[in-house]
Amino acid sequence: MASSFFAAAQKAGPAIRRQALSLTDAAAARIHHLLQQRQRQFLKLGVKARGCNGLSYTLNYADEKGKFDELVEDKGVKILIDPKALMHVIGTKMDFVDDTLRSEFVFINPNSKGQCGCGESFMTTTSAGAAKASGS
Amino acid sequence: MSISRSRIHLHRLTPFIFNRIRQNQRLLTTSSSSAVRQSPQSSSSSQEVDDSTIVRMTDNCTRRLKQLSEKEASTEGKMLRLSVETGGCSGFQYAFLLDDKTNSDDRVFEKEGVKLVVDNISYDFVKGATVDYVEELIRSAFVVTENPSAVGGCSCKSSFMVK
Repeated sequence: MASSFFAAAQKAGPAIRRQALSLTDAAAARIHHLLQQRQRQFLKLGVKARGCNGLSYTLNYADEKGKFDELVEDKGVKILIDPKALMHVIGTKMDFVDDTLRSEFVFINPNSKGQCGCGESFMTTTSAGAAKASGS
Repeated sequence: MSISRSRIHLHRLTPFIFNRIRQNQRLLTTSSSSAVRQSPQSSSSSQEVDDSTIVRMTDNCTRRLKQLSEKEASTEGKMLRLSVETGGCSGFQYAFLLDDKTNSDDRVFEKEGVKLVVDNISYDFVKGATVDYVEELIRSAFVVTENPSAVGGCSCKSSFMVK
């Protein structure tokens, strides 16, 4: 009884973690291409406090997984999520838009409460709370 | 005695007076000639490009536009149109699109065969600015850098305030 429950929990664990970030086919293809081209292991997603409305996403290459980084594997591509960013990006869907005039990674974040007009900066309830705390 | 003294004074003074007159003459003639010289000079300087009235493109920007022109038939010969719209976090934001039509009040800036078009109303907000094509991991896009008409604004650089 306990062992079957434990086994189920083990199976559910990675599934829950995978949901932290999901990728569209276009994003996965683009990331795969970039990692192949540069011969790097992972792409690392983070957030930093800047922009007009709280936070903005950062993307960098990474070769090794940090101790507390969250590894997300989707559609054959590995992405690391910075532990500080995890709370803000959980549930986000990452897309890649390729236009004649611009090509960029787009993040559809259900936690996002507001967005900068340009779409780069966003706010989540946790970051808004933090901003208020630091402001007052 | 007094007469001879005054003569001596006169003799001493006259060269100074003469020099002064000569100096004044010289001043008058040079100022008039420089005034004459200035007018052709000023017209030539107005023909020269005044940096604060043009919208510049960086080498990477022109390179990308040439690349776009060669890549697809649909984008061939198109111009990059920069316009300013209301919106964004700081009041105004830039919008780029590829266009093949110009209006009579548009300003066209050309470099190495590629053209940048700005409509008359937007021009006041972007004169003196530089358009660049920035390539990063997270995005590659046309951006407006160094806009002397804008102050502060969004740090993602797509929204700005005017002075």
